[in-house]
Amino acid sequence: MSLLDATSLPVLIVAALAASCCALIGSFLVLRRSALLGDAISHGILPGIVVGFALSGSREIVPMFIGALVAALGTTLLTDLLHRRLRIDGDAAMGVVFTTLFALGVVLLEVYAGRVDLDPGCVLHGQVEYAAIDPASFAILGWTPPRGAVTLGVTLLLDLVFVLLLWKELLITSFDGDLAHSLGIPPGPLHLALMGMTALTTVASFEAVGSILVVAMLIVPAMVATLLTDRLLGVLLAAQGVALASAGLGLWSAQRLDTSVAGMMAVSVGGLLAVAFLLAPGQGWLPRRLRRLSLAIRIAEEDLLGSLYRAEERQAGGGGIERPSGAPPHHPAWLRIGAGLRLRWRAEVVKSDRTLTLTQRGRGRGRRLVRRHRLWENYLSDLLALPASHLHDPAHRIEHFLDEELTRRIEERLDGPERDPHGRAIPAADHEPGEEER
Amino acid sequence: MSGAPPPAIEVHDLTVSYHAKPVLWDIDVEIPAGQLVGVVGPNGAGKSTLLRAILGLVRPASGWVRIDGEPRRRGRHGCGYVPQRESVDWDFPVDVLDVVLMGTYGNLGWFRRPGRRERERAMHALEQVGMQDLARRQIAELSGGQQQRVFLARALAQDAPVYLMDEPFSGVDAATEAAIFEVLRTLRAAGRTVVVVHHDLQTVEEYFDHVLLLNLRLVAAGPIRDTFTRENLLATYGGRLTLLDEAAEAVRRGSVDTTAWRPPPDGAS
Ligand SMILES: Nc1ncnc2c1ncn2[C@@H]1O[C@H](COP(=O)(O)OP(=O)(O)OP(=O)(O)O)[C@@H](O)[C@H]1O
Ligand SMILES: [Mg+2]
Repeated sequence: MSLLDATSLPVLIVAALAASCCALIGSFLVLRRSALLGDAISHGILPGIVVGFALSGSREIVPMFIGALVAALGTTLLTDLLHRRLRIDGDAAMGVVFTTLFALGVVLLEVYAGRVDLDPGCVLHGQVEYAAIDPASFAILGWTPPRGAVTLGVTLLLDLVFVLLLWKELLITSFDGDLAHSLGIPPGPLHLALMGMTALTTVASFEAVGSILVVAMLIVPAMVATLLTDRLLGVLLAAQGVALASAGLGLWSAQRLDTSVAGMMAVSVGGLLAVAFLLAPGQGWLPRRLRRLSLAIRIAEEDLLGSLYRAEERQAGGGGIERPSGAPPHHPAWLRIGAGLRLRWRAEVVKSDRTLTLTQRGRGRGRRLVRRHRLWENYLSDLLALPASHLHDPAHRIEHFLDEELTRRIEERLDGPERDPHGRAIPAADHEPGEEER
Repeated sequence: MSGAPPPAIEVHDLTVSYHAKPVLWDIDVEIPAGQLVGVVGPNGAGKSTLLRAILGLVRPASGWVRIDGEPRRRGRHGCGYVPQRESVDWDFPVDVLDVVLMGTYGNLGWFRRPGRRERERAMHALEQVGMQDLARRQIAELSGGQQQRVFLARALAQDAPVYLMDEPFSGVDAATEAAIFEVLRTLRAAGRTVVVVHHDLQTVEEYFDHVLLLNLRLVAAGPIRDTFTRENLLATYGGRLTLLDEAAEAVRRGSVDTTAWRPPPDGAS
C-alpha cells in the first residue's frame, strides 16, 4: 500500500490540509502565549457544533460553524467574566469554562445521538479514513476531491488571507498590546478575530481529525517551530513543514499498524517535538551538551599546553626540569586523557620517554594562552587593585575566552607591559623565530 | 494670556482605580509643551499608572486628558510610548529592526505593510540610539541597556509630538544613560514634549526643566527651580500617607462588600 494510491491519497490530502490550517492559526496562539486558549476554544465549541448540527440536521459546515462561533465567543466572554468579576485566576477560569462547555457538548451529543447521524467517537477521533468514500458533489478537471478537502481547502485559504492581510496587526498586538493600542490598532477586536478564525479552523478540522488532534495540531507544530528558528516567518513556515510531515508520517504509520490515522498523527507530531527537543541545532539538548563538551575539551587542552609552556620557561630559567604528564589535575581523568590524545593527534605535543614535549605549533598556542593570562592579571591588578594573590584564579578562567583582538586592546590599554604582577615576563604577541603560526 | 499655546498635556481631575481601589487621586495638572518633564515619586506612587491613563490604556474612574488642547487621538498624532522594559516577551521571534518598525505602524493604516520609507525611518532611529549595527539581531540576544535603546528607537520612529517614557534609564550603564539623555535633548530641540518617569533624584535637576512630584496624589508640579525643593520631596517620600492608604482600602472594601457594611442611621461613625 502506498500513500499515493487511490484510497490513501484522499486521506492524505484531507489530513494534510487539516494539519496545515491548524498549524497556521495555532502559530499565532503559541506566540501570544495563549496555547491554552486553543485548547479551550477547540473544546468549548463542541456544544455549539452539536446544536448547529441538530438544528440543521445535516453535516453542512455553515450551521455548525455558526454554532461553533457562538460557543467560541461564549468561551472567551465567560472566561473574561469569571476572571474580572469573580477574580478567578485567568488560566483557572479558562479551565473551568471549557471543561464545563465540553461536558455539556458530550451530554448534548448523547441526547441527539438517537435523532441525528453524529457519532461521539467520530467527534473525538475524526473520520479522516472515510475521505475516499465521501467525495464532493463536483469534479475538478475530471478529479473528484474528497468532500473534507473542499471545506478544509476553503478554510486554509481564508486563514491565509486573514494572516496575510492582518500580518502587521497580528504581529504588533501579539508582541506589545499596549503599543498597538496607543497607535490606534485595537488589541481586543484583533484577539476576537483570531478567536473566530480559531473556531472556524477547528470546526473545519473537527470532522477530519477529531477534537483531540485539533488541539495537538494547533499547538505542537508551532512549539516545534519555535525551537528551530527565531524569526516570525521562519516559525510559520517551519510549523507548516512539521504539520505536513506529521500528516504523512501519521498516515503511513497508521497503515503499518492498522490503527487510527488521527491518533498516529498526534503521536507523530509529539514525536517530532521530542526529536526537536533533543536535536534542534540551537536549543536542543544534544547540541547544547556537545557544545559544553567541546568547550571542556578545549579548556583542558589549553591548560595542558599552558602548563607545558610554563615548565619550559622554568627549565630555560634554570628551574626544575620536571614536566607535567597531562592536563592539570582539576580536570576529570577522562578529559585529561582525551585532551592529551587530541593534542598528540594534532601534533601540538609529542610523547617520548613518558614525558610530553611541545611542538612548535603547540608552543605557539601555549604561549598565547600564558600571554592572555598574564595580561589579564595585570589588567585586574590595575583596574581593581586586587592583591597579587587574588589574581591567578580569575585569570585562569578568563584566559580561555579572550580572543586576539580583545587581548591586543587590553595590552594597548596597559601600555604594553613587559611583566605580570608576579614579575614574570609576558610573552610577545607575534611568533618567535622558528615557531610556526597556527 | 489668551495668546499662550495650549499645554502639551492637560490632565483634569483624574482619578484612577484598580478593582475599585483608587491609586491616583484627583490629579489636576498641565504639562507645558517643548520641555523635558520628570515624574518622580516612590514605588507604587502611581507613576506608571499616570502615563497609562494619559495614553488611554487604563480607563479613569473620573476626569479627562487632553493632548495639545484636544481630546486624545490615536495613531498619527498620538503619543510616543516607551513602556517599562519588562512589559514585553523578549523571546518573541523578531529582530531589532522588526521591533523598531512597529513604531511606524500607526501612520500606515490598516492592512498596509511597512515599505522602504518606513525601513529608512527605522534605521535612522536606530542610528540615533547607536544600534544600527544590531539591526538584524534577534531581540532575545540583547542586553538590558540595548533593549532600552530599542524601545527608544521604536518611539523615535513613531515621530510623535509628545513622548511618555517609563523609566528609560533603569538598569543602563553610564554610557547608555548619557546616550539616552542626548536623544531626549534632541527631541526637546525639535520642539517635542517628553515626559519621563525617573527614579534617580541625583540627576533630576540636571536632566529636566519641569517636574511632577507624585505619590497617589499630585504633591507638586512646576519648573524644577521652584518645585524640586526639600519640603516637596519630604512630602512626596515622607510617611503621612497612611490616611490616604486607609481611605483607599476603605473604598475598596466598601465597593466590593456594600451589603455587609451600612453607615449608621444618624450619619455619625
Ligand atoms: N494591573 C493592576 N492591578 C491592580 N493594581 C495595580 C495594577 N497596576 C498597578 N497597581 C497598583 O497601583 C499602584 C500604583 O502602581 P504603579 O505601577 O503606577 O506605580 P509606580 O509609581 O509606577 O511604581 P514603580 O516605581 O514601582 O514602577 C500600586 O499600588 C500597584 O499595586
Ligand atoms: Mg512603574
